Amino acid sequence: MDLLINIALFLTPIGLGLFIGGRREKNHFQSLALRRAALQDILISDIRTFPGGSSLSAPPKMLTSQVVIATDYFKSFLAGLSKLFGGEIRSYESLLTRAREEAITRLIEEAHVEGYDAICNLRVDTADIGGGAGSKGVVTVGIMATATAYRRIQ
Amino acid sequence: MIVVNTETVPGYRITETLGIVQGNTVRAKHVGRDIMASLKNVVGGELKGYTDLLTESRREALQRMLNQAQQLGSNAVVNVRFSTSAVTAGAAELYAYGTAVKVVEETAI
Repeated sequence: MDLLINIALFLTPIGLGLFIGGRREKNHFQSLALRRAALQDILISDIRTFPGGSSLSAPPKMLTSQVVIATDYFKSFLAGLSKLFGGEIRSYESLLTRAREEAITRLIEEAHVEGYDAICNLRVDTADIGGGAGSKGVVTVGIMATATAYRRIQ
Repeated sequence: MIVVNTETVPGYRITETLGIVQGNTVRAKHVGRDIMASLKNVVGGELKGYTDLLTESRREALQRMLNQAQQLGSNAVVNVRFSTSAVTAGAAELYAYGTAVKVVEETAI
């Protein structure tokens, strides 16, 4: 009986992670794609100068955005398995992609809201936020994006 | 104050470079946020509390940098960079630095 309870305690979070976490991730990727599609007119580059020229009507402005995302139990479990044999940990790759995309999308949205139509010198950093919470080692990813927004010469 | 992370400001000419300015802040996550984070960890997803913490820290570090720039009498900061470091588990430092300069509009010259 005790064994059954232990197995249930072990499997429930993994199941929750697999179903709820998986669905949430899929939804997030879909919403990201939609949000990005709506902002296609904005020129994004990581070039240090201002491609397309900067209009003098508005001085350029540095924008920042950040996002912290946690893994789900299912991914942590998969990663734990991968660590036994080494090699690629695919379950964490999508986590990082998701966090980066979200941070960049927020940056572009902010630029759009403030009336800019281009961003240059985009820099994406992984923020070290001081290890995991508690002893369990919650895997979290903090991403910070920085860029300069400007208005192109039409 | 014009703040950019590029080396130049289009439409403006740098007339004087006043030197590096910097600002930092060390913040700890509080326990409530940690508890929420470990709950969130089951299903994954964004940890809004941590995101807000990062936003606050970034604003604070940037503000301290700008205060220094103002004291030097500059009207722009160029080439701003951020870096983070984990001081201990649960506390993180955010550091912002850039070069304080004086700029004038090119049309004014």
